[in-house]
Amino acid sequence: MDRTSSADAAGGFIKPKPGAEQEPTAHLFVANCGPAVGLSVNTIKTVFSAFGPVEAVRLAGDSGTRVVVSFENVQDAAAAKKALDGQKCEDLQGRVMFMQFSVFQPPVLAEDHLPVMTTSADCGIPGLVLYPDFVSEVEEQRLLASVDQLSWQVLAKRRVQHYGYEFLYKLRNVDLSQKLGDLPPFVEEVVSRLSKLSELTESREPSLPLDQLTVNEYPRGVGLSPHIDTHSAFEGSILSLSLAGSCVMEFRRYTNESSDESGIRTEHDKESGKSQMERRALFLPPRSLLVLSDEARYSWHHYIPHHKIDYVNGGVVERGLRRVSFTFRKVRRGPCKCKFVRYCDSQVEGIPSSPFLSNMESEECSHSDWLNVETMADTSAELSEDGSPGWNSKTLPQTETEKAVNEVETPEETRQQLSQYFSIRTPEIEKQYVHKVYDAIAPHFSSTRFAKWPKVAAFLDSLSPGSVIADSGCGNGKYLGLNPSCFFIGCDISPALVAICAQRGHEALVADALHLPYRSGFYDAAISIAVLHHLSNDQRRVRAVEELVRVVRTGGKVLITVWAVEQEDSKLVQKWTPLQGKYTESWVDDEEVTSHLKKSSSTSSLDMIQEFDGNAEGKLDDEEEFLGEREEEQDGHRGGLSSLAESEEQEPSDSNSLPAAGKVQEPQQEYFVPWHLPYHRAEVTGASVAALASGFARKDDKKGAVVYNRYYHVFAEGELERLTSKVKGAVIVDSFYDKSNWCVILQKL
Amino acid sequence: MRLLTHNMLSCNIKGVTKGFPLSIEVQKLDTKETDFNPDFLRNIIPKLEWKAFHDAAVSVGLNDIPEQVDPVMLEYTEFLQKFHHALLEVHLEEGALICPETGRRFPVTKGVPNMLLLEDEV
Repeated sequence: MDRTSSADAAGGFIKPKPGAEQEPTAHLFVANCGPAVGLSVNTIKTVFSAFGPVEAVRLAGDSGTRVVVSFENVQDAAAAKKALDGQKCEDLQGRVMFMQFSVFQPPVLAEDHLPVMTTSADCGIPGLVLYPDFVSEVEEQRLLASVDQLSWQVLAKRRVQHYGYEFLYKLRNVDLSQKLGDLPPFVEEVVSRLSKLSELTESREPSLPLDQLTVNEYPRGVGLSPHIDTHSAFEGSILSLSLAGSCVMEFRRYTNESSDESGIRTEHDKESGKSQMERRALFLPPRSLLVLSDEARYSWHHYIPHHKIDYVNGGVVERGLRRVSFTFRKVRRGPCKCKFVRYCDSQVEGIPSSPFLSNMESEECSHSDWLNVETMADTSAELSEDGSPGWNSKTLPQTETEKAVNEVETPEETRQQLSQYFSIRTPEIEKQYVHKVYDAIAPHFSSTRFAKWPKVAAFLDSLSPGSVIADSGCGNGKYLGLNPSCFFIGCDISPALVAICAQRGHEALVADALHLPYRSGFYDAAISIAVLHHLSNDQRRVRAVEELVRVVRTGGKVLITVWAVEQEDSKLVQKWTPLQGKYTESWVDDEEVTSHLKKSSSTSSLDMIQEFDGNAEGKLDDEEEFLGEREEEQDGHRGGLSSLAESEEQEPSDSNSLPAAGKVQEPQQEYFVPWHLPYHRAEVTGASVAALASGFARKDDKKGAVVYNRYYHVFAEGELERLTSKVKGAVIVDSFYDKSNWCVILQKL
Repeated sequence: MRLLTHNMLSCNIKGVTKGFPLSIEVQKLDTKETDFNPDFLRNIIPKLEWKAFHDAAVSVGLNDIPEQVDPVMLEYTEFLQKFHHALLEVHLEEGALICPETGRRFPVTKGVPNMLLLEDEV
């Protein structure tokens, strides 16, 4: 659907009053016609072109059922109207269209009456400065010629070149360890002039030397979704030179956006029911330089509407065939300490860099990027060591959830159910070492999670178009929407991860995989990817499978994957901390858990637990893709594995440092698996400080990271089948081992 | 949260027998354009609890969804468009979902329902 045209039309054409006497114009307002009724803009244009040259077909409004057809000549429009108005049109699926002449009135309807300023002073945003004619026409041509000779990286709607450091759109950050080189010689002169600007030389935080340049080429009609450049990525001012074409840039600030960190609305919010948006628009002519510092850089979203024409001072400005922007920045080394905390990814957890993130992503991460997932995964693995993407804090996800839930009065009758379900309430081990950790590491975790596992993709692809799929424990939502012909709903117990899903435009909610908030039999399929191994007893794992089966329809399928004891890369296991003893019994009693942990770590929780992660290969963190060493099963079963293999391989090689009883044959399935949160992401946050102080996390100076432990029960061979066969009403239709995971596919009877 | 999602959601507090449909408390709505897919719409209809969908549409201010759906209507593009809009394009951004039996209120914040139960509700 052509949204660009829609915007133009909404802004520029008056919807005629029905029945009014009309002077013919070149523009026909056509009702009962448009993409929403199956007629593409091109088809419409072809049909109308039979009457004369058609300048454009634009959508009128958002319904998709009305268009404005603009002819070059008034008489052609009149002829078309005469021939087609109220008549059945065989060329357009026999539709009967209704037509009126429309009047083009740019200034009246332009952009919701948002006046477009031509000087930065008129905008009144501190830190916003526009220098018209910063470069000459000759310089402009030279710069354009230089970049045109070089190769572009093609994004969904525009092309880019990166110099100094590559800006990684998936992470919305740069990788400091991957310097591409110095800025190219053809910008030397411009950079030298930029470096003398008072905004840079006199700014509070250093903006010099400029060491990163992104060149963007926007074709006519392409804009930029509203966003704030990631605080943690760049420091000081951001400078953007507009070449070749012009555009209107809109600046937006949400004045009542008080729920950034917590997700909890303030009273004020509740009263008003919505946040207020301040908007300013500024015309950026070719060869102008835009400087964003301080408030303009840190707390205002900037946005370029996807228009082909802009309305400025009552006139219409056609955008050029393309606009090429040269954006100069200084890569940040260390956390952002700005005072605009609520927009700062260095200081607040999981903040959206844009309220319209999904748009951003769709623009900047096209599907073709998936082809590069391997590469990207590698990059991200390095990043997670070296630090880069989001940061996070204890901030509140946990607290927040509690608050949200506690707001509610619990009816007395439901309280009485307590004792009966005591056995499946969430054990402390999971609250602390699963939920709390994922909340704390969510943005960083998410930024390393985009490799899609082919077996999951194959399962999703096998579903009929129109299927509705529940992803239980969806994490950052990387599988949501993977089959575009299906509808996905994700849920996860971590509000911080669900917030990331929502920002990406996915349908997701906060819920517990053991208590899915869905009616029974609704879904065509359900998936549980790398979730069950975070549940700490058999009863809970069975319950989670029961829930998956419950929510799918008869004949519906459920895919479950879990980490295997049998890791393909056994070195990984050495980085994990085995937990002492076997956990065949429910870990439901807090005291039991605590005492258990104490046994393995003496007094203060985790400090004393040794960790075997000497070599931190990049893979370290990549969830679904690996597994561990083989051990045996809890309940005494040998899971069909040869006992020979077990006796030879059983103990992780370094497990002698465990305080455990150390029986060589004891299977080891309970682990803490470390997550390394790079210092410069963690240090400014009270969360990590608090986690460190309480012993919940620890420092690893060698790696420069705060280490969080996640609880895992890794599955032995045969265990997942035995577990799922306990669930009534479903049969196993497939089970397999792949990439260090055990997997089953169930079908509901 | 879309109305399609609402149609799947149920309050599963222990002991609740009629946790569906949740009533909707609206504080803020949003509309997000979604690709029109008539096949998907036709496929989804049998799954929906239509009365609940109709009532949900009314509670978000959409009064053009018929109280009953007839297969014949699936041939009408106009109907499918209204259906599409109500099902997929209108989002509850801020508000709450309320259990019809217990009155338990599940908050919806930034488009995300929080359906977590308290420990003594499971």
